[in-house]
Amino acid sequence: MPASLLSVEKLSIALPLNSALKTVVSDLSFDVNTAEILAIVGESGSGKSMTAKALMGLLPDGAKTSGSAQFQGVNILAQTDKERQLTRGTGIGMIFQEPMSALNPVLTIGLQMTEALIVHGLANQREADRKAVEMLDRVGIPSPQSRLGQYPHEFSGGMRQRVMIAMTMLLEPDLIIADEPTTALDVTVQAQILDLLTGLVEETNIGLLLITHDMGVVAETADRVLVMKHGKGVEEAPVRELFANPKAAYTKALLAAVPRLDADIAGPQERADADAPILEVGNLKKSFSKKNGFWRSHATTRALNNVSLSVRQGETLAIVGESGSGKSTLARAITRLLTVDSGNVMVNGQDFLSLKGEALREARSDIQMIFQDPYSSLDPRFRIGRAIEEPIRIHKKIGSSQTRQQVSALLEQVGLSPDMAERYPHEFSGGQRQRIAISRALACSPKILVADEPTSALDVSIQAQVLDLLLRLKKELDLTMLFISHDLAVVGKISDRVAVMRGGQILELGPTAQILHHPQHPYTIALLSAAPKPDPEKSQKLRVELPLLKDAGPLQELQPGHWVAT
Amino acid sequence: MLSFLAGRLTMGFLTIFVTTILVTLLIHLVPGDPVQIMYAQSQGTTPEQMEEVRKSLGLDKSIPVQYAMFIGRLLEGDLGNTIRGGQPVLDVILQRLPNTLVLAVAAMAIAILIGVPIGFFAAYKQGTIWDVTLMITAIAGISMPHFWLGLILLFYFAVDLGWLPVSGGGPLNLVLPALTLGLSNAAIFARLTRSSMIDVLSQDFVQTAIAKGLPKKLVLRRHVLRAGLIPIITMMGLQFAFMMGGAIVVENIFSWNGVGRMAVEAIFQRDYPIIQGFILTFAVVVVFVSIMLDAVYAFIDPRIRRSQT
Repeated sequence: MPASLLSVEKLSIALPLNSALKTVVSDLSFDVNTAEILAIVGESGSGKSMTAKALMGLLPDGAKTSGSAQFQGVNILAQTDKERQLTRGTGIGMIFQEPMSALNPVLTIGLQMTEALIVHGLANQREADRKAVEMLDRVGIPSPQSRLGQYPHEFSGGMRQRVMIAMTMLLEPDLIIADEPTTALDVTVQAQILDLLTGLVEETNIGLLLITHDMGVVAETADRVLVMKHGKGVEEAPVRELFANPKAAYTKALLAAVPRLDADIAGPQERADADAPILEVGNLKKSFSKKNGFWRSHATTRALNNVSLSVRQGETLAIVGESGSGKSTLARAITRLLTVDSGNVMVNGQDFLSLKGEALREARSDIQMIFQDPYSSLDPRFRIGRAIEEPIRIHKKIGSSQTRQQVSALLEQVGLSPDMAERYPHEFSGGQRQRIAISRALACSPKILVADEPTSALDVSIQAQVLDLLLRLKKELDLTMLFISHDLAVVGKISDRVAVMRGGQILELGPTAQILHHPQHPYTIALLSAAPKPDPEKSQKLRVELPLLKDAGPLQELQPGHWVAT
Repeated sequence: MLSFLAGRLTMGFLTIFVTTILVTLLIHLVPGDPVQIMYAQSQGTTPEQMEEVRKSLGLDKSIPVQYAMFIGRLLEGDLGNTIRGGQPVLDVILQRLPNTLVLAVAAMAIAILIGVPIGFFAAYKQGTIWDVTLMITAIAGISMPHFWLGLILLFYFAVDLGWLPVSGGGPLNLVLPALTLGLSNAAIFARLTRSSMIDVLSQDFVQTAIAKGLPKKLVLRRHVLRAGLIPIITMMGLQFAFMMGGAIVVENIFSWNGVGRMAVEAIFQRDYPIIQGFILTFAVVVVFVSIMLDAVYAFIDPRIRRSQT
């Protein structure tokens, strides 16, 4: 019987909201044992992050908690601020989601790592420095001696999360709470950080409370899982049991909504007019130069380096890549939201990039974009009816009663009711807003839809609905789609063909089933192996080494339609 | 960091260059003949005398020639002579500039020493009665015109209580004008500091610092204050420019013998060379101060200090 490290009982949390208290967590009970990883999984609004904050004493002013949380025999919820401060860090450490903002940008890494050691009286400055270097080495930061004098901006996102972990581990806590520690990171980096965390738990016998929304992460790391919904615990079980035999209906629905890499992939549809490309992109190049100083520009990054592709009528091509791969730049270049350095984009045989004035405005109605964040892509001061109506008024020039009918039809098409046209964006949930963004994109009857990570800001159950909607619309309206994503499993669900991008180049391009099940390029293989699989039976600790970033050669056709860079 | 400063220096020279053009055009921007306006009040000036003044100011030449002459003299350190008295303008300005700078720096110090702690405290107590009271006071402070606040302070401390002299040039005379100028700017600094600190307090790294088990005071002093001061330092440059402008009003209330008072006299007397010299000096001071503060800013913010080249 493992020793219980943290024992939470009937925890309830209420937050102040408009001078009343709103309950966000109620009657939650769970245990975390030593040398164990408990994952709390839930969608947004499930109260999982608030639970973490309550345990750390980081709740906003005015928040109320009830119940108890026994940590090493002491109810930490009943402690005074001063008592809490003494056990924070040394008893329970915390790792936050955003490595970019969780470190102070104006203080050195060394100071930030060692200050708590000194405050807690665990070391003097010299010892603390030595320990910090050791710990940086342990979490895999190269040349750690030279790092203490550096500032956070001199580290990449993954490296910062390593620093964050090292900083937390340095105080030798018995329990670490990690709140979505890899959500802000690329999958290949996520894999490394998860391996690091699980390794540390094994070596040091600490307990880890992992808070996440990602079933793949849960399957790969957790020993036990607690599923939360609307502030309540829905189901708790050992990880294999939960995935093999979920009991609660919500858990079942959640697991069903997770897109899987090993799912069956429908082959591309055969069509009579399959040969006619509607969108052809040729040798696109775009560099960004970071301005530094007044006249001179330094540090040129090539966001697009000779990108060519073509998309046939009615086809969905997915562009997959990690941050900095150039996938979003490509989407913006094709829709002319930014100007490229060279290359061309042919839409329906027309040179889209050379169009000007009225002709450009007309051509724009053929190619529309859906953005990632439905919270910032809709004007908060426009009623949504007006947001959807605007492209119609610009492009179609029809009477206002007809326009209103069209708006109603568009809203119904995306599964919303026509009377919602009078409401403002803030009255809708994230998923509803993305539906609104889709109907706005469809308003001028485009032929091509460019969707830039349209579901990555959404919860997994909502993501499944939006993907289904896009699939249905594509069929009904014979849309051609360019689907930008970082998530290979999502891509498997929606696309006919996939292009894998890295460093501004396409490394592999082919039918979805080929790319996901028989990848050829080493980078594609590494990307697939790093993606967390929502199945504890299949989770593999063995990762494929990420190949070095280098200029890729021209694409070669290995099999009909399957191109790989040499 | 060097290229950052080189950029700021270049911008500074450009600003001063543009100012020289405006200064040359200044005489012609006033409608009517400048020399006639200049002598409108004095009866006995003959047309010949006016013609002479016109010549001495170079107003008989074309504007580009006037500009070339102006720049030529400027490079030799000559800002021309005053019309009343015929002294070199540069000497007149340099003689009084230290007084204005002392006033502005003292006022700046008061503004920062009062404003920043108040803003920091209000941010820490955000949403409480403390915060509300302090911020209402700050808005009242910003809304208060210099001449009004100056007169109130003058009546109370100098006339009623007799603690401080009404006017003059000694160190004690500095107190009231510096306070007048400093207090209203303290209110601006308080508001700036408050919003900057509230921004920092909501950052993740503050949570990290608390989660490490640091005592609250250390979190505030080391993590919040330092990060929150950076935007305030950039605002100081702008604020200093406003403060120089405010000094013109305050110097006149307290008869403080600085360039501001000199400028107002010169404007009444249409002594164009002084006005031109004054504007140019002002531009140089403001540009110089903002470049200095940019250097401080670049030094404090490692993201700029440690950028390559």
